[in-house]
Amino acid sequence: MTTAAVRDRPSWEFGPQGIGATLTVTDLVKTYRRSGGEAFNALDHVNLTIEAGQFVCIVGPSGCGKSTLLQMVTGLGQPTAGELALDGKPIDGPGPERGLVFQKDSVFPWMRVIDNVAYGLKVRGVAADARKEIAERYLAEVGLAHVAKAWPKELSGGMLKRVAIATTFANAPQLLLMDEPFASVDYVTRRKLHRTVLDLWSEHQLSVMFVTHDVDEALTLADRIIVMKAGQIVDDRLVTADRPRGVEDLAAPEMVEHKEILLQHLGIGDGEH
Amino acid sequence: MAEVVASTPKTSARKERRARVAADPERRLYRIGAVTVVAVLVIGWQVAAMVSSGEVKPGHPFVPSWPFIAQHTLVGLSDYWPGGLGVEAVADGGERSFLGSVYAVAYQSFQTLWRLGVGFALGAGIGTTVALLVSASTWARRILSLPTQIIRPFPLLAIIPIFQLWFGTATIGAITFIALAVGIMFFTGVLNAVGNVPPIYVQNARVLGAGRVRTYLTIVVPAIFPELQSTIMLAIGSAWTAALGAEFIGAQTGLGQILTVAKYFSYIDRMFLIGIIVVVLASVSFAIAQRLSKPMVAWMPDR
Repeated sequence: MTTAAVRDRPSWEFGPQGIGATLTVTDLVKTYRRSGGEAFNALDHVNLTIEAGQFVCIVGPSGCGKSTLLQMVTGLGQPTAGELALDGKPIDGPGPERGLVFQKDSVFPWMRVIDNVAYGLKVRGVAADARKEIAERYLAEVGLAHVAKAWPKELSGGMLKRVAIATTFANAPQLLLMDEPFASVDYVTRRKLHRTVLDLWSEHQLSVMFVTHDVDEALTLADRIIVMKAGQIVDDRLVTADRPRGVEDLAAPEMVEHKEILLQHLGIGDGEH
Repeated sequence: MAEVVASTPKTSARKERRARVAADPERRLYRIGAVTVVAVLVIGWQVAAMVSSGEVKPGHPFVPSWPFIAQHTLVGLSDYWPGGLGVEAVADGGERSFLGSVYAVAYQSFQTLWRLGVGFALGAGIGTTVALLVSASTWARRILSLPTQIIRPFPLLAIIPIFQLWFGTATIGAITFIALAVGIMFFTGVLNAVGNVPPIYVQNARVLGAGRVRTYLTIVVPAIFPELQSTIMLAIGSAWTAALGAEFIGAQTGLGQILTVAKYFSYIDRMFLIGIIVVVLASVSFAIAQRLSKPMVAWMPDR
């Protein structure tokens, strides 16, 4: 955490918001029962620590448990066994210190764009002037200042994603959770959104847990990539290349090596991709 | 996204709309079609009146013609003016007059309308509240689920006499009866709409820090409104049925009571005229409901 980031923290904040927190996952198990009656572990004794300020991508084939893990961290699901804690505080139910950008569109259609961005601040009791100012600032940061008064129906899919990102950042979480957020936007928009997220992340120094099935996306964004398979962590690697990482950066030998190993984990052998 | 243009005076807005309708062939055809159907019905009725010479009793035709309704029937309604405003009641020896019939229609319509309005407001408020409680709280569901399930299929018209005996005066009986009819519709509609709120909105609110009550008031309530529009329209329809039904059986005033008397004396022309008045008033009430709900669904995607 840099001094600049501390200085820039908005004055309305209460508690240690806006600073990256450490997530610890200990022996986490989530068991589901299929309709046939047999039980299976979506999460099978997962242990994981995400350091404060770290940008972690979790990749894995569908059904590997990555979304279940995210759901547990968000607090929208209850683990069968094991512990989750943020900066040592046990996680019990959803909370604003853990912001989530959903895969699907989560922008409230009955609120104007600016009211969407200010919603989290409003329910947490931030005064009207302060939340208007904060919401306007984050809308400007994601490049949407000009549609503050618009209804969500007037926005494109990529713009709605930006609204969701502004909403989450305006709420000053310590841990940002992203559940395949850009799976449904086009390639160019996705690249632009990556830049926006990285800019906001480096500005606010929060911890990020970004779930994706896209290896290139993980390589573009992450400090650290974790691979999950059948409810277990099977690989955990650091990516040290400088950011921003363009197309040619992803072609560097180090990155290609990462990519080959990641693809092997995902079930695509050498020469098949 | 476009900046809102400074509001224009009403008249020019109306002119604009008229111009838009004129320019849009689809809407023009729709209008022409609607007007044609009404014209055919009106002319068809008149033809039927001219062809059919049957009478229920002398001076009271089976199919009253339009001139007959406009002169004889309408003026006859002045029987229902209780007197005042310079027009003496017919029962007190006053003459039947056009002015008296206008007063009578206004007065009797008002009697029906205020019962309908109060009954609707009560029913909508209670039905919505109970449905929100039932869908929000497990305890409310346990307590209220069975009674509401029992009330729902009850044949409404069959219990009007009970209501009037229980609630004594016809007015309170009619109001509670309308409230019950409307309340049941709102209960069902709200319960169903709450069940259809996409869970992602509720989850998003919870993640952003909203508590359960807050989530309910700021997410669930606005999210159900579009689906509730059809419930509101259906409920207005059944409120009219309930209002006339209650008056038909035992009120001293109101449009339904005129129908009752008309039925005793087989005045088909009066029943027909009251029917037309009800259709007009009901249409106005639908239009008002639609106009009022318009700003509340401004956010909805255009279909």
